[in-house]
Amino acid sequence: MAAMMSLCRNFGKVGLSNRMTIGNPCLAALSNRNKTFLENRIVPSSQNGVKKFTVNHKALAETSSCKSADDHTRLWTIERSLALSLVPLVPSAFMFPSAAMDYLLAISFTLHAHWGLETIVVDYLRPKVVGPALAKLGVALVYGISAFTLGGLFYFNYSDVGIVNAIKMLWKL
Amino acid sequence: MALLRTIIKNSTQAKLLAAAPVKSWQPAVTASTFGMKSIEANRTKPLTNENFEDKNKRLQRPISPHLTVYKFQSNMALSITHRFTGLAQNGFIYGLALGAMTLPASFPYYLGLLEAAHIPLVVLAVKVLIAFPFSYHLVNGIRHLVWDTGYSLTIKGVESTGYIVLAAAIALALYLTSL
Repeated sequence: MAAMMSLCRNFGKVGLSNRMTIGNPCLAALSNRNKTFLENRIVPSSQNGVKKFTVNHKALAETSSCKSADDHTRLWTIERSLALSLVPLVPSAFMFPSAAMDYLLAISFTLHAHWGLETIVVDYLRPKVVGPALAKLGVALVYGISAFTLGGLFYFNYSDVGIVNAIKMLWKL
Repeated sequence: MALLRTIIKNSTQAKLLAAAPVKSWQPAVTASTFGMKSIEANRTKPLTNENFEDKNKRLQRPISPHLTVYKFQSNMALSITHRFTGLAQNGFIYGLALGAMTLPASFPYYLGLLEAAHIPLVVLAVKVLIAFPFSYHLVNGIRHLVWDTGYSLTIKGVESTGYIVLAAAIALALYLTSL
């Protein structure tokens, strides 16, 4: 019980901590930009007292790749929260079925599947390998598929038996 | 005397900088290590504008082998299975949505068709094919969430939780199929 509570408490803590900026000069420069006045000179950086590399934070933060870099933390945390909420949601949808549960399940499944599919596409359709056009097209297709899936599942819930009932009927065969 | 010292200082400096050209970082051993002031201390632009990837392409450098030489391990298999089962479920809900939008009749009708075919093996196969991806992805997903809090991120932890996940996933899949 105590372990579960500490697990839940730690869940919200992960984010762009100092630990995550190790080895990533862009993130280190960005987090420095947010905190302190950037000096336009080589500054030694140390993580946990161990000197990693020296870098000119201001110049690095002004490169185009750093300027377009983003802090993915908030979206990442939302993704994990959704995944965590899905664990009790699915059994309870089967134990307490209702139309609202069907729609909630449709939204949660589609959102979780969308983020997963987008991760896969971004991982494998890399611009350096397939070209920038195909990479962008892949991500656009993922959005299209997810939108269509959400619409289709809503239509199924509305005009047909609904997700939970469909699975129950299939299982009764 | 001062002139001689300046000449020596500059030549050693030049040698050090030639050996390790500065881009946006400096190596651990620099001129300053020897108590000398580096002339590159206030560099604000990289030496060239060439991208790392473009330079490698230009020099036609071969890529080191990776997938073909890395030892196959259990954690690799579990990870890629997590991705595949997620993708499979993606296919299920997409198929359900597609069927709902395009097929003319309702779901119970098609279920009746499947029942009328009287092939219990097909029904069992369908159940297993739905139950196993769901149960494996669920249990391994919990393992991923545990990792995201920082626990069990050790080699032993990954290995042992991996075996637990495999056993639990198979057990849960069997249970769900039998329902």
